[in-house]
Amino acid sequence: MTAVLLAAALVVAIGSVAALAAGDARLGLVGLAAALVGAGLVADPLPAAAILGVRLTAALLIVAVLRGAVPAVAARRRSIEPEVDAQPHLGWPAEVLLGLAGGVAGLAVAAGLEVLTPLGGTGTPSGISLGAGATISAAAVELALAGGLVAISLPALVSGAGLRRATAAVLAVEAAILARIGLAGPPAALEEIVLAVLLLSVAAAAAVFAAAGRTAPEGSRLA
Amino acid sequence: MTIGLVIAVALGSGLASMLLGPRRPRAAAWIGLAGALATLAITIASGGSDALTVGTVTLASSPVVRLVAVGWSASALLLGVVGRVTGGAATTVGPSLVALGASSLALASDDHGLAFAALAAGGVGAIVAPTLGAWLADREEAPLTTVAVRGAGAVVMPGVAGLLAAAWGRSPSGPLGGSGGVLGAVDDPGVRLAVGLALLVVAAAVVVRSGAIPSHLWAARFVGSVTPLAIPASLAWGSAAFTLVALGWSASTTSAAGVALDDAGRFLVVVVAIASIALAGLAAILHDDLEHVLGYTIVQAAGIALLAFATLRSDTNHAAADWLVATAAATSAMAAWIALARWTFGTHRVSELRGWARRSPALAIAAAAILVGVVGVPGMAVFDARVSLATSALPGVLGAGLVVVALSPVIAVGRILVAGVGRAAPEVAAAPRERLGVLVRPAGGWSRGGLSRGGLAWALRVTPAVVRANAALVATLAVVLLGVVGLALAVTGTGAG
Repeated sequence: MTAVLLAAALVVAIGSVAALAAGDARLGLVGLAAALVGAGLVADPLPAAAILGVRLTAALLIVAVLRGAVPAVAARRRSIEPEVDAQPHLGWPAEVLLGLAGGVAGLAVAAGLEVLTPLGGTGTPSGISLGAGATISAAAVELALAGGLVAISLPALVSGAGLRRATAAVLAVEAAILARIGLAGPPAALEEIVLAVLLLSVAAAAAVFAAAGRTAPEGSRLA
Repeated sequence: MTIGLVIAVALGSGLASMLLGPRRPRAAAWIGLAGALATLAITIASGGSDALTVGTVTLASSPVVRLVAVGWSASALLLGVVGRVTGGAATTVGPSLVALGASSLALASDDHGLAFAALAAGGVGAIVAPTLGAWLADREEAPLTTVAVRGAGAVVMPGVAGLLAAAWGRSPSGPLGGSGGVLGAVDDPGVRLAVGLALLVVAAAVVVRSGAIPSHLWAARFVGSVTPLAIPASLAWGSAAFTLVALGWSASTTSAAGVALDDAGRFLVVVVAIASIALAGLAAILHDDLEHVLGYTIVQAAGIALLAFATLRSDTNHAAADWLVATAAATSAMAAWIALARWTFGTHRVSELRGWARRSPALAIAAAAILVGVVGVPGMAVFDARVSLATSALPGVLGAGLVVVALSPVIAVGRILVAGVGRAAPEVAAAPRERLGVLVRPAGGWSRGGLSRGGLAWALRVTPAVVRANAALVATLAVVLLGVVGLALAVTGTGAG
C-alpha cells in the first residue's frame, strides 16, 4: 500500500511538471491527466471504489474540458505568436526546482503540525519507512505535494496565458484539495463530490478564458 | 428532504440553462425561469425545519437557509422576467440558480469545509457566464477576460482559503482537535495565535469575496462590464451566503477554542469595515452611473456585515444574518430597477435621468420601496441590524457616528429619486411610450364570448400577444414586486434575532 502511495506521489510530481513545462499542449494535457489521476490515489489506505471513481472521473472530465480548448488555442498561437508553444513558461529544470522547494516547504508545514508526524519520528502506522527509523506519513506526502504544486503553478497562474494558465489554475486547486486531505483526513462522500465539482468548474472557467482569447480582436487584452 | 429537493431543482435547472445558454438563449431563459419558480414554490411550501443525511454529512434547513432560498429564488425569477424584456436573461438566471443551489447546500451543511468548497464551485458560473455574455454581445470590449479572471479568482480563492482554514480547524493541531472536541491547550500562546490568524484569514476571505475595500477593484470592474441583472447573484446573494458560512465557522471555532480575536485583530477588522462603509458610501454618492451606485452600495453593505467579525457574539451574528438577507433582497430590486431604467430611457447616468419618475410613475413606486428597503427606519430589521452591528463593534459616540455614515444610501439612492421629479432630460423625454411601463394594448373583447363559446381558445391566442405588447408593463410590475420582496425582508429580517 505504501508503495502505491509513493508511486502515485511520483506520478503527480512528474505529471504536473510535464503539464506546465511541455512545449506541446497535448503533451501537457497528458501530464495533467497523469497528475490528477495520481493525486486521486495519494491516500493511505486507498479510498473506497466509489470515491476513487469520483476522483478519476473528475480528473478525466477536466482533461477533456481543457482538451476542447486546445485546437483553438494552438491555432491561434501559431498565427499570432508562433514561438509561444515551443517555449515553456519557465523550462522544466526551473519547474522541477520550484516543485522541490515547494515540496520541502510542505514537509516543513507538516513538521510544524507535529501530530502529522512527517519525518524522523516514530511514524504513524501507515508511514513509509525511509530507513534508520525515519518515516513519512500519507498526510505529510499530501502536504508536500500540495506545496510543490502551488510552487510550480503560481508563476503560470500569475503571468501565463491560455492553456498553460488554465492548467496552472487546476493544479493550484488540486494543491488545495491535497492540503485539505492532508490536514483533516479523507473527506466525506458528499465533500468528495463537491471538491470534484470545484475542480471541474475551475477547469471549465479556465477553458472558456483560453478559448475566448482565441477569438478576441487582435491587440485586445483578451488575446 | 425538502432542502435536498431545493438544491436538486436549483442545480439541475441552473445547469441546464447554463449549458443551453450559448446556443439556445430563449430556451435557456425559459428553463431558468421555470427552475426559479419551482425552487421558490418548493421553498415556500416547505414548513419548519427538515434534515437530510448524505453519508456522514447532515443537511439541515433553518430559517436563514429558507429565507435565503426564498429571497434568492424570487430575485432570480423576477430578474429573469426583467431580463426577458431587456435582454440578459439567458446568461444570468442559470448561473444564479446554480449559485443558489450551491449556497443552499453550503448553508444547510454541518461541514464548513464542504460549505466553503460548494460556495467556490457554485459561484464561478455567476461571474464567468455574464462576463462572457457581455463580451459576445460586444466583442470590441477588450478587458473582459481580465474582469472575468479577477472575478473568478475572487470567488475561488476565498473558498479555498475557507476550505483550508476549516481543514486546519478539524486537524489534530486545530482547535476542534480532529474530533469536534475542544483542544485542551487553549492557554498555549501558539494555539491562541494560530486561532487568531485563522479567524483573520477567514475575515480576509470575506473581504475579498464581497469586494469590500481594499479588495473592491474586481467588483467595480465587474459591475461596470456586465448587465445589472448579473450583479445580485455574484455580489449581493453570493457574498451574503459566503459571509454567513464564514461567520458560522468563526463562531464555532471561537466557542470550541475559547479564543476570540485579540485587540489587534479586532482593530484590523474594524478599520477595513469602516473603510468600506465610508469610502464605498462616498463612491456610491459620487458616481454618476447607476451600476457603480449599485456596486458600491453592495460593497458598503458588506463592510457593515464585516463588523460582526469584530465581536463574533451570538446577537451580532443574528444581526448580520438579518442585514445580509435584507440588503441582498433590496439590492436585487435595485439591480432590476437599473436594468429596466436603462432599457426604458437608453441611459444609465443619473445626470441624464432627470424627470424619469414623472414619465414612469410605476418605476418611481419601485424606487421608493427600494430606498426604504436599503435604508430602513427604526423598528425595521435592516435598520436595527445596522445599529446593532455598528454599536457592538464601536461603542459610544463612535458607533453612533458610524451608524450615521452607514446611512449614506439615503443620499446615494435618494438623489436618483430626486432627479426623477425634475424636468425631463432629453433622453427621458425621448423614451418611447411602449417602454414606460404603461398599458399599451388592453386585452379588450372579453365580452364578445363567454368561455363556453370559444372564449378560452381566444384568450390563449390573444394573451401572448398582449403580454408581448405590454412587455414593459410586465417588467415594471416585476421590479415593483421585487421591491416589495426586498421591503418585506428588510422589515422582518430572518426572524432569528
